[in-house]
Amino acid sequence: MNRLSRLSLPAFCALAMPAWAQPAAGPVPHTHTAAGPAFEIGAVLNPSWQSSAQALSHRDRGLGLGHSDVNLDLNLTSWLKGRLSAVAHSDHHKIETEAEEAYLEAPALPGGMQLRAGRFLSQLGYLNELHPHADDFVMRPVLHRAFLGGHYFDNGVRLNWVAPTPFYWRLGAEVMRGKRLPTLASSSATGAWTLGTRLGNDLGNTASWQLGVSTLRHRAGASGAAGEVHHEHEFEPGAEHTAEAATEAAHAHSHGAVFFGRRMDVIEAVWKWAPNGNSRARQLRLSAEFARVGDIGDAADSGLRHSAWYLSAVYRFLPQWEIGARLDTLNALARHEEGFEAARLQERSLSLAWKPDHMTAVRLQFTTQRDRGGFTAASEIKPSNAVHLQVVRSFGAHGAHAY
Amino acid sequence: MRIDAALRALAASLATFAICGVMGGSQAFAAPSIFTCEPEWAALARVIAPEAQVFSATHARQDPHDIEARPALISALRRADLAICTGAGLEAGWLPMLQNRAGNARVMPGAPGMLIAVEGLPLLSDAHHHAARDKGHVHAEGNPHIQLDPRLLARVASRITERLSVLDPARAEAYRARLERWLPEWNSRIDAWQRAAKPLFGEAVIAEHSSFAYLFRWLEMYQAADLEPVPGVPPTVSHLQGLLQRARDDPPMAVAQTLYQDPQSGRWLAERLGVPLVLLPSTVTPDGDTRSFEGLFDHLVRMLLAAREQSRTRK
Repeated sequence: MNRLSRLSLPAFCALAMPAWAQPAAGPVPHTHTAAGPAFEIGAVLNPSWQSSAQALSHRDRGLGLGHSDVNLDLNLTSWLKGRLSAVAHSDHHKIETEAEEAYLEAPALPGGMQLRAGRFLSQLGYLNELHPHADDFVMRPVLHRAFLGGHYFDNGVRLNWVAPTPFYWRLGAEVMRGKRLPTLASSSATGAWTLGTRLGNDLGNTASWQLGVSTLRHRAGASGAAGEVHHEHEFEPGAEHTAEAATEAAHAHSHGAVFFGRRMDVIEAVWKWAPNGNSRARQLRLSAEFARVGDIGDAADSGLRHSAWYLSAVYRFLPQWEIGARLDTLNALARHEEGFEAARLQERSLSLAWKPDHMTAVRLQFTTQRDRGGFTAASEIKPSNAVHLQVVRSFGAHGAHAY
Repeated sequence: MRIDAALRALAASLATFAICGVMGGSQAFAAPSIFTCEPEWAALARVIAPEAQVFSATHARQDPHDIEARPALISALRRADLAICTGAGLEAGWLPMLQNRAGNARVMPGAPGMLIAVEGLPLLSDAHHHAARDKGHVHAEGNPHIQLDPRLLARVASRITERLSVLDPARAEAYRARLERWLPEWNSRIDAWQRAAKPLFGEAVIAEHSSFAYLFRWLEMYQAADLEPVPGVPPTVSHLQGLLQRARDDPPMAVAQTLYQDPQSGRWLAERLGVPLVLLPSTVTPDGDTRSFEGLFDHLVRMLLAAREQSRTRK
């Protein structure tokens, strides 16, 4: 088919075009292929410095390595793609490395279906499926750090359907192994699934929006009695781990969520505005997520929930400069011998980013944390304020960014 | 010979059948839905297929290098039977994401419904074009800003016609008839613009980016310098000062920028050089006289001639 249209094209063009209408200059003839390169390799380096360690963060005081990766994108056939990415980041004075993505994907099956299998970032909520190096702040929101250990990736299968509607509408389901979410020592049951939908469209020539709801169900601990999933190293850096805790930490390390629940519901909203729709020059981006984590302990505690939300506003006031503010709130319940106690944390961030080109971002951020009730007592760590300095540098192929 | 022709006809009908199958039985007879990355391809598509539903992902006041993969664009691509994009890396920052999110096999890379405008065209060499995005990545695809050479537009119009005829054979005759009506008229206009623009021969312009490279080549002008220090990186004060030093003794005819580029830097340099700043649409606009190709090239030639007059009188 392709061959046919190519064969007939030159003939047709020759007929249709007068000879003088061909460009006269003798430019370099380039060959173009429509399918793109077979593979692309890229890397992201993300060193950072911060003035002190902060609650619910793996980043240490001083210099550290943020989410850095090496990635390989494969165009296997016209309909099958693959991606591999290995991530390195510092976690309490150690460099952790792991395969974060290793999947095969058929992004355009008949009828708007999309299938992905392997290890990938879950599409729970807005930020989780996006790569952290494109974030507007040094750390993911408290919501993600407290409930998903920063960001949640796992082995599994995803099926999406994109509706042929005049607005964007995606329905998606994922079945995951569940091992990347905290598991209880007493429970061998694993497995998780997510279900979500997302809508979006433009508002005139200058604004656009996206709304989504999604839910995560986690079987882990369904038969277990306790909700004790606070990893020792989360709250007491440097403290000696028991053998069991060490095993658990090694298993869940950087991606163990701090506050556990078998059910998590997320509402996401994004609104962006740019004068004339030209986001390159100036742009305002608002985004918010609200998450509720239920089923956090025994059946008897079924009414108990954690919740968290954030509201982020970022303004690109010059093509290379952005200023951002984010408000984060966590209302969690920490398990104690007698039951649960409220643990409330508020975080405020202010950031200034300089993006001299598409491959580079330099960010200065100030983040304050406040105990809004019981957080220090429940978690045994003090909220603190910190100045962050971050550099994100990409090398090689740099994939297109999502909305 | 006859067997060959028969085989071709068979292959064509099989291909058509396959495409129609993918498009879905009911849609095969409806007017095609065309998604274009830039408004110039939408304007061409409307010339060839006025009955089609045409959606342009961008407009003249947006920088086509820097577009977000917005939900509205994913949705439009999801419904498209044919997508027309420039290629040569221009949409590298957003089209792959749209394709990946839209779930539409008709417009995936290499599919018949994905038409890359620069394919097969001789491009101006522009090795640094997307240095900022693809530093270290082999990307010597050439300058993608072909839409301001009307001769190249004619060639793309022919390819759009051919592709539409394959995808929608029921209307193939109509598409070809419209092209054949449009081409001679377009070619005589090219002639007229070239005659009108004769005084511009050899004139130098300082412009931002390589946005007007094909226009300047067509009108036999040249771009003396770039407001951008590195392609894709906005003008800096030190770079502008360097340009001022270099151009002061022999100033160009004008400083030119597109509608989506920040005129602040152009104005700064033009004022100090004592030459006019011309803000030229780099493509057809959503409204006004330049919303058609005819109006656009009339306007471009007129603006450049006026700038030339202005700089002459100042000298």
